[in-house]
Amino acid sequence: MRTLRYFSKSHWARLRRGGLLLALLAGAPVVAQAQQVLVQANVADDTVKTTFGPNRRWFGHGYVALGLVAGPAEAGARLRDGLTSLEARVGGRLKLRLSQSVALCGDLAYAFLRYDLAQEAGKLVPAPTLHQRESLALHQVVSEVALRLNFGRRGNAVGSYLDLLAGGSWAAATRHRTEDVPAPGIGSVETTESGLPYLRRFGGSAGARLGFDRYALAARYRFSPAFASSYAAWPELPRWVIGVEVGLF
Amino acid sequence: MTDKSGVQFNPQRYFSPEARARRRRQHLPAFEATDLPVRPDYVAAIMAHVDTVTLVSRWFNAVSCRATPAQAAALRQLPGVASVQRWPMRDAQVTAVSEVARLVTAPHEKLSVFLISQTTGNQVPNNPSPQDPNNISANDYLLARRQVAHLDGPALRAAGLQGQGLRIAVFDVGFRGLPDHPAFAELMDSKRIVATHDFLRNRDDVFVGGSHGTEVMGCLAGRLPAGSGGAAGPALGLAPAAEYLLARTEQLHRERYAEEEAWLAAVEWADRLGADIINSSLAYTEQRYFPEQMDGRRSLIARAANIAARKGMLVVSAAGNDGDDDWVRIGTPADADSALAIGGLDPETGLHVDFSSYGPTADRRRKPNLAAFGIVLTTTPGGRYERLEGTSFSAPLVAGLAAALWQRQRQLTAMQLFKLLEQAGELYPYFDYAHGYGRPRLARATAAAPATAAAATFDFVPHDSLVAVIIRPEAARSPATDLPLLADDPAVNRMPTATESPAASAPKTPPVGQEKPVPADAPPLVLLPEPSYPAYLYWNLADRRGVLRRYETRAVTQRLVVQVPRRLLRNGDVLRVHFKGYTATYSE
Repeated sequence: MRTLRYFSKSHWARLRRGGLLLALLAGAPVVAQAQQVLVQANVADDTVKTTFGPNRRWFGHGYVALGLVAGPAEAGARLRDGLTSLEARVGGRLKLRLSQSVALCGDLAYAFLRYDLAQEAGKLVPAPTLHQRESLALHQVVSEVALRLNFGRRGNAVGSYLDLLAGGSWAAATRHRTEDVPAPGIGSVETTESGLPYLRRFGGSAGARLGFDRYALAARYRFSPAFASSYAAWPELPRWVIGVEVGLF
Repeated sequence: MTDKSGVQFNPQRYFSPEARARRRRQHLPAFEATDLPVRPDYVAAIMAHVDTVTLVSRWFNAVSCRATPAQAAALRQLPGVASVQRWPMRDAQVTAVSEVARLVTAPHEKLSVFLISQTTGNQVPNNPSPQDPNNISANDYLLARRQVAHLDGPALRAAGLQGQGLRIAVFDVGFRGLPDHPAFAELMDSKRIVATHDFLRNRDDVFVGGSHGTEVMGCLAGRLPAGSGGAAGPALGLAPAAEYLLARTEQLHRERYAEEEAWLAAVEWADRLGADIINSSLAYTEQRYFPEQMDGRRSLIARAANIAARKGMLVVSAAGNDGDDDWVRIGTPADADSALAIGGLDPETGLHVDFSSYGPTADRRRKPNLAAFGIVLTTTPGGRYERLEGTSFSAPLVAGLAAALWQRQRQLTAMQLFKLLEQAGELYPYFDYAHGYGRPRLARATAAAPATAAAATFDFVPHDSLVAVIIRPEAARSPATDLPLLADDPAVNRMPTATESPAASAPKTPPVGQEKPVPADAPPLVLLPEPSYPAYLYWNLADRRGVLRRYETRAVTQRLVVQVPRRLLRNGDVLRVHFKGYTATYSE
């Protein structure tokens, strides 16, 4: 059976033009004598079958995501209305294509999650005291796997897909931040507590992601409670995060 | 549905007089099996079983439709249906693809039903910044003149070769603003847009949607604003006198497979209406295909382009704008064997422009075939002129040249013209995957002597372990040039024909004041605004099959210009060098 020989991107990237490449050519087998190379390609090296690409067997890329915390909160743990309770992610993704329509993805990401607590009567979390503003924040390392179902025929492109997500997170750092106006003449006083014992360190979630090439809508539901087991009586924070992702490729 | 037997076909009624004349000129039969219609009873049976029929193709003896799996199963049982294939075909159905390809040569044997499945992809539109139409900058004006001059436009105009009598079909995303653009006033007034059709919406209005077609048409038939006295402005392309068929086959912002069906429908339409040349400034790449599929046999439109060439049409296709992105190589239909793929040149250097896609094809055939300016001044909606870039504009420039050459030698077949254009490349017989054979030149485009022997300009000097390329002293000089009195004077720009001596064709520059007449033996004047580039040295290493291993273009600053280790010339590999029109090879 004849082996197919394809051009690889890495070698094509060797194309050079418009610059002095004498230094680069110093180690090349073809000796250039003070000549300016304007266009150059080494086609003979391009003989490796490509296995890496958006619709190849392997593909990896970075991504950024921004989601809003959504869903109902239990009494005493309501969040401030608006867009201030959010999750921002930056991470990398490795995709293994199993077939034209099925792939597995693995993600590793950093996620910053903030709950902006509503300051209203009946507030319980993390304490009944009311402040001008108050938030809980988690700096998390998130690991996630996804079963990707692709739709439609496509070439070497990510295409349209639905990802079924399952993941876990570890809160590397936690913060409780309050802002108050203690007295006239003082703008504000901010306090930050870290290493919060009442926030759960490990969490689990499931969700779905609907994507088209580099853009995706993602929704995740947190199965694990927000608070540690010793604080199981505390009212639960909203469990959903819904947002958008942009692949960096 | 294994045949076309019994169908009624009258080529006199089906083909336009121009289409019939094209076939006669090229000694093609009045019709062939692929021209016969699909049997109406077969089509009717399919229509009764599916929701939507999107295309009935004579050439492929196929019907494309939307169908559920159950409907597809029912189609298989219909009489005359040879096969039902998911369209686009899956990777695993390579055999089926080959089967369809064979249908091209044996249309009576089988009929395929293509099923549209799903679509995907997107396209980034070109959104250039607007420019005051009454204020074309000096640089843009010069570019406009050079984009025509670099393909010997002034000489063609002086010879009356502007595409008269040729029909050029342009397939594009839309021609918005074309009828009202002053650049096309002459074209519209003379009613040389003989037919239009939107194959995506099945209507005749193509002057809506995208404007890319307007921009492409500018490089074929557009003109700069008229000068004083109402005279037609200088041409932006080389076929301002041709007739045009405008087809909308492409959608903005989307890359649906239906576009390829539209392309196929359009090419059959163009064939019927007598198109001589098809300009296709589009290239489908990674949204639909893998690089290894760019072999000219995979995509529907590549196969359709090859059939079009067999029916006597010259298909000119842009190579693609992926030279500086991840895809890098040419798209389809530029990968088709019989499509003339045009790469882009940088007007400033005359060399490959970064974004122009590289060859070869996936099966290592030579592409692109030729190159032309990839940065141009062209027409945009609103009566504007803008500087745009892309091989989309290289293709129509060469298509215009092809029209002019075909006008001069009407007896040529499409593939003879294809070869003639390749041989007219200024690098021919040198080739590389960035420039192809270079830009075609009129002086080299003679069927009788396509490649006149040039004087040797360099020598190969073998040493123990190296082969040196040393430029001859006489070739290392840069001759002085003289300016003509009037750059636009047709007499000045008239190119010598093969039967004329240079003296006989010397320009008749009128004397002014104390000027002396031009001596009869004076060398030909420089054709301004002909771009003037330094003499580059091109060299490549190719294996015994002609597949390039390595190639370079170098600026020449000394006579010892390249040294190649002799170990690289083992196994029959060949070193080929081109400098100042002279190409020589060295092998061991």
